[in-house]
Amino acid sequence: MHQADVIVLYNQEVAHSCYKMRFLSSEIAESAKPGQFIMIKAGGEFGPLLRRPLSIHRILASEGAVEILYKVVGTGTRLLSETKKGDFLNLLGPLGNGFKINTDLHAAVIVSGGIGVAPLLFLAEKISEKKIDLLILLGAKTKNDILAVSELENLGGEIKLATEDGSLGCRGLVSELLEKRLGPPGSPVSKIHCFTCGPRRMMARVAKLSKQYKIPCQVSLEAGMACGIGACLGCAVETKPREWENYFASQPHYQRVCKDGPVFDSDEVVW
Amino acid sequence: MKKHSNPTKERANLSVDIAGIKLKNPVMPASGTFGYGEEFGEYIDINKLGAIVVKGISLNPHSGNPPPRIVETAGGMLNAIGLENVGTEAFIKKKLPFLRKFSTPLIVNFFGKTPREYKEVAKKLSEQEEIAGLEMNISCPNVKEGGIAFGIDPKRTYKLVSQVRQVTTLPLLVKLSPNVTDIKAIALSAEEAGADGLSLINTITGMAIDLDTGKPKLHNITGGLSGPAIKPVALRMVWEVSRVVKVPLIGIGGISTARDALEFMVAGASAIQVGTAGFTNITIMPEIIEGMKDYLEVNGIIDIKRLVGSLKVPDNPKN
Ligand SMILES: Cc1cc2nc3c(=O)[nH]c(=O)nc-3n(C[C@H](O)[C@H](O)[C@H](O)COP(=O)(O)OP(=O)(O)OC[C@H]3O[C@@H](n4cnc5c(N)ncnc54)[C@H](O)[C@@H]3O)c2cc1C
Ligand SMILES: Cc1cc2nc3c(=O)[nH]c(=O)nc-3n(C[C@H](O)[C@H](O)[C@H](O)COP(=O)(O)O)c2cc1C
Ligand code: FES
Repeated sequence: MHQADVIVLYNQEVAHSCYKMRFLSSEIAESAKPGQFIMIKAGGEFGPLLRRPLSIHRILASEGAVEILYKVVGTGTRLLSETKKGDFLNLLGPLGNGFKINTDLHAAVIVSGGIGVAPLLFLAEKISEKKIDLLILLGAKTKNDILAVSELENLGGEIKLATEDGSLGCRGLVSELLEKRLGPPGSPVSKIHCFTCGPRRMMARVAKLSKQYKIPCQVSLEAGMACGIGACLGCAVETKPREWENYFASQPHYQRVCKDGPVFDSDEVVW
Repeated sequence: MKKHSNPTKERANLSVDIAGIKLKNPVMPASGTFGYGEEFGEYIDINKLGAIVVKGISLNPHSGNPPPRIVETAGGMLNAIGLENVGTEAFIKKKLPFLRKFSTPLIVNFFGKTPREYKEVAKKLSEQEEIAGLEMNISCPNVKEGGIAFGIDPKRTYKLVSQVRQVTTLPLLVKLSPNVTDIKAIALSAEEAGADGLSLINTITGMAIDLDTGKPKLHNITGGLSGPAIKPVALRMVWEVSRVVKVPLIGIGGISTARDALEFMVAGASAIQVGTAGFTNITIMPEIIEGMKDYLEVNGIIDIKRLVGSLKVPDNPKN
């Protein structure tokens, strides 16, 4: 984990208002795990006060480079989109816990919604490296919001697409693809693990399905952040108390998305 | 890059004394922005700080407010954490062992829902050898029951501080709320009641609205404003209070650079705390300490204490 100025190698629009940026950081390239994120100071000293959290999209180990994939939604991400090759950016990372890939895992399904694919490419690469059976379900509003397909295709696994307007792949929600794939409730599902990132409602549906079919599911959550390292308690998400944490008795139980997450077991989260 | 204008010269003396607590330098974290030290400890050398100040502790654990708890605003941020903390017992058992490892004095911020709770926490903390001082939060604007009633009224401030004073011999700092009509009156009450020092300011109550949804941006509706946006208000309050009390002051509010920190000292603070700025730059405190040294040396000031309260105005008796 470190804070540093890094040099931008590449920053280009890859889909409508979505950008891919590559920067040099051998420290992050060497140590990052899928699901971890970085905090970027967008716009330097003239940008917004707080850093913005962005997932690690891909690592190019041989070049010591890191890629992020982001959608312009406000001032911070707009300023980031104006960054040019050769500019410096200050960042902090890698942060958070990342996805767990169990050693006995032999089949995985990745469910992505929209820009939620950002941390999932890195994960998909790691899973493929381990020769684990991989199914990728990619969903978005329209075909213009489907991202990173060619990179995912290169991994050689099976990919299914869904768009809400039917402009690409099946018409409907990506969670429906998952449901179809899992078959009628009660049908035998062999040891498969589910990994998901996307809009909260979509993740909630995936979490519910996983519970019905009794498959472990890891979700990558979002929250507004200030410090990104667990010090300010600003990024709380409500979770179910673990048994030994009985001291909060009648109060709700919160965890920090930045430090205890951003990846949680879907069962832990109060949806 | 560090710049040393005159490397052969002896470095300026940055040490200060706050209510009997000896600090290597006047720079410490602001309560609630530094957790219990563990997180920042991965990035900075805690031994370099003037003091450690931890997240406010209460008798029983609090789980805090539902999200969203923070939102950025122009030049600052609003927070409504809701005083989430592990409680006194868990603090002593689980957090103190880490904090004990450092030579840096430990100041524990605390609060209560009732005077009795304030006293109980103060008593329990005072039994811990490794605690150098207490900082009593009488001002948190976030939790309805969390102290606002004490810190906005001179009489209730006096009563509460005197009660806590009776149960502890540790240096007692009282942290003041800026959400009052006359902060001088509250400061005087706290001093009279036995406070050994005053920390100011806590956050300024504010709110933010999402026009498109018509909803408040914080679940709690209102929150405490911190960051550069509040610095002028904080400076003014430190200056006003420094003219009426004798106890040392700790200046807090939007400090982001060594110059900001020194301005607070000129206004009358003997030490300073850094909060929100640490979210943007994790190494800000060591950088501020170095920057203060550099400034003093460049300007031929050998001891930082000479700067305290030195504001050049015609009627300043300290000039
Ligand atoms: C762990 C994590 C990983 C993320 N990874 C990515 C990624 O890889 N690609 C990507 O495009 N986006 C990602 N996001 C969302 C991204 O951080 C926000 O879109 C971004 O902060 C918006 O900043 P802005 O200044 O453009 O927008 P503004 O709306 O101006 O931001 C204002 C404030 O709201 C907060 N905020 C805005 N949108 C969100 C949101 N959706 N969730 C939580 N807080 C928000 C910001 O942090 C900021 O403090 C991630 C978020 C988290 C928590
Ligand atoms: C996220 C956050 C949590 C805080 N928690 C506490 C707290 O528990 N007790 C307290 O006395 N002040 C708390 N504060 C107030 C700070 O200690 C400080 O007074 C204030 O933020 C102004 O300083 P700054 O502008 O440098 O951040 C908190 C501030 C922030 C931003
Ligand atoms: S952002 Fe500060 S604790 Fe998570």
